[in-house]
Amino acid sequence: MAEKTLKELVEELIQKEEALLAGGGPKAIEKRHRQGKTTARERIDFLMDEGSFEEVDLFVKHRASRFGLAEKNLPADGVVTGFGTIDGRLVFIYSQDFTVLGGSLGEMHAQKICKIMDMAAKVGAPVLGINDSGGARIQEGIDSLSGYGKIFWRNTLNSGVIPQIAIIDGPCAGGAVYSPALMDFIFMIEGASKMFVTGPQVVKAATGEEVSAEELGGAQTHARRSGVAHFVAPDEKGCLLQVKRLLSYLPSNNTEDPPWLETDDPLDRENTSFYSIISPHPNKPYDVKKIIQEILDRESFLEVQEQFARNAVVGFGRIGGQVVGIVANQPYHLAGCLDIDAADKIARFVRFCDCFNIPLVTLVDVPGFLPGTNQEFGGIIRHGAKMLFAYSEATVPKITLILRKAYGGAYLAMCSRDLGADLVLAWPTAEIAVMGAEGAVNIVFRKEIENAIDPVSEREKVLGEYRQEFYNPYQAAQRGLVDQVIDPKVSRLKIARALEVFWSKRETGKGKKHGNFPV
Amino acid sequence: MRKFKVRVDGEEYQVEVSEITEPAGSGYRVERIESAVSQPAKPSPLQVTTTVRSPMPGRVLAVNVKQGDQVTAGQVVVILEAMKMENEITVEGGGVVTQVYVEENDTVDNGDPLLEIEEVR
Repeated sequence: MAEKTLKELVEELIQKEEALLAGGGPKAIEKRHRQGKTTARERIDFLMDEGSFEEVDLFVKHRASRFGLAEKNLPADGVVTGFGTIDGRLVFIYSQDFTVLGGSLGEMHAQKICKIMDMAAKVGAPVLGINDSGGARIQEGIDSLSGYGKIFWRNTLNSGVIPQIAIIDGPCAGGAVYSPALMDFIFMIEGASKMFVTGPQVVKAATGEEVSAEELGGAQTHARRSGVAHFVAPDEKGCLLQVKRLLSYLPSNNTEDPPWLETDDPLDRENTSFYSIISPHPNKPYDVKKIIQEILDRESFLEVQEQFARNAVVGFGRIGGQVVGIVANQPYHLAGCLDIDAADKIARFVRFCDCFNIPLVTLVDVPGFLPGTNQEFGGIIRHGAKMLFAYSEATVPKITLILRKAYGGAYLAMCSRDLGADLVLAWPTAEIAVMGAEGAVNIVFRKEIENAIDPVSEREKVLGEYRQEFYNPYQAAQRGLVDQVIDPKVSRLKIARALEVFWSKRETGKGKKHGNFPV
Repeated sequence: MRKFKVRVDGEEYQVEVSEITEPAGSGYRVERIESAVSQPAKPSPLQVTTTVRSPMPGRVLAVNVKQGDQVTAGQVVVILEAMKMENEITVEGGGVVTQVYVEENDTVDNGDPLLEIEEVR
């Protein structure tokens, strides 16, 4: 047989590639398109800068022989992996291909994902994982199971080194959910995404409970109730655009600073709207997001977990082009109290920011922890502790602005001076106190009130005096717990200056294995 | 071939189902037959009643609506004083107030019903 020419060999390569790039074949792809979904490769094309994607491991083939798999041709083993750029910045990606045996994860499929994760860690670039898989490839038995384990292990080792982002664009069930869960952010799509450890059938068999897949693990469920989803989009395109937007706030790895973006929004822009937003009457609610948006560069606020634990607001934004992480109490919901979900939400966000050199700006208006048996039985003690721990161990610049109420343990938890805030600012409306005035008076003046001829009017009298003396920022300022009491209209400028100063902070974690984070 | 027991209106049937191998995780089309008998005699269009509940323990400061009032989504129906805040309790969807369970100065617990709203869809 005559030897093939180089040209013939290249043609052969192209033929082989074409066969593999077809994934599950035109019929399966057409079916997806009819369902309004795109293919694994189309998603990558949409995300990546044009022509930048380099596919890795296109030729990888499974080596399972049993249960009819030996004859089965599974292009790319059901997952497209590689690297490319988004807005000019390097990212690594894997995208499961549902048209190839339901995107099921087998040994080699997992190996491809692991390879990409290792490469990303090596060069310090984010990993994006697009999940669209029926689950483990049962035919491959424990090889498939082991594949999941290897991914989880890498998710954990890469945590805090490179940003890891999961996009749930289809089913993600059983053990598979734990890879996204170990990553930093989970994106879900209305109608398309389903995430659960045990599906509706198993739930029914075990408990008799009937629940739809959508109700059990749809985007709304995880956005509102479980808090598993960080971002929800109405469709695939919207979701991928959200991913791009999030990436614009994140550094590529833990040794880099987040990307700076030029802004024409002046730092000394006065925030006069605060005069009308906040009522000096501390019982009147307001929307803290208006305060956040006013302080940040115009239209730079990207809220995280918007619908979960709405009594707390967390998200990314920019001040003078510099990325910051914002944490705030929301008086509009549950009076802005801290509860189990809010504590979890804040603690996780603070830790992410600390991992990736994103300074924290905390806006405080908190009356306390939410009372109730469900909170205590649910373990608010150990959940609340997460906030204290996360703020205390964070070494990024920590700037705190106290807007109004800052009572008791909840005040301490909201990045108080004592938990290591670098600069604490307070508005004249701030009330930093050990507890609400009514409760405090009943304890401090118990005898006086009891012994008075008219206890009711005596109580009113001492309450008024007590409020006057202690419910302001000046007691805390006298102790140096507040560094500056400021006119609300200069909030943006004061925070910007504080960030500039403490940006060069040289604080590192203590040399220990790791703390025992209260989980 | 697998056997299933299926109960329809108390009658038990044995059904044999053959499994057609399909890629894992693929969807199956199932047709749902609406039984005319089992439908409760409900007037159409559909009426949906939602109970507005207290999100936390507190004291009712004001009830802004009364029975028979029309409300729209996002409207403040009750002011609940709790955790040193005058919390505005809003409705998620619009409709007619069919029941008011609380009045001024009532103390309510987390999850207590405040009022009921009937929405015609």
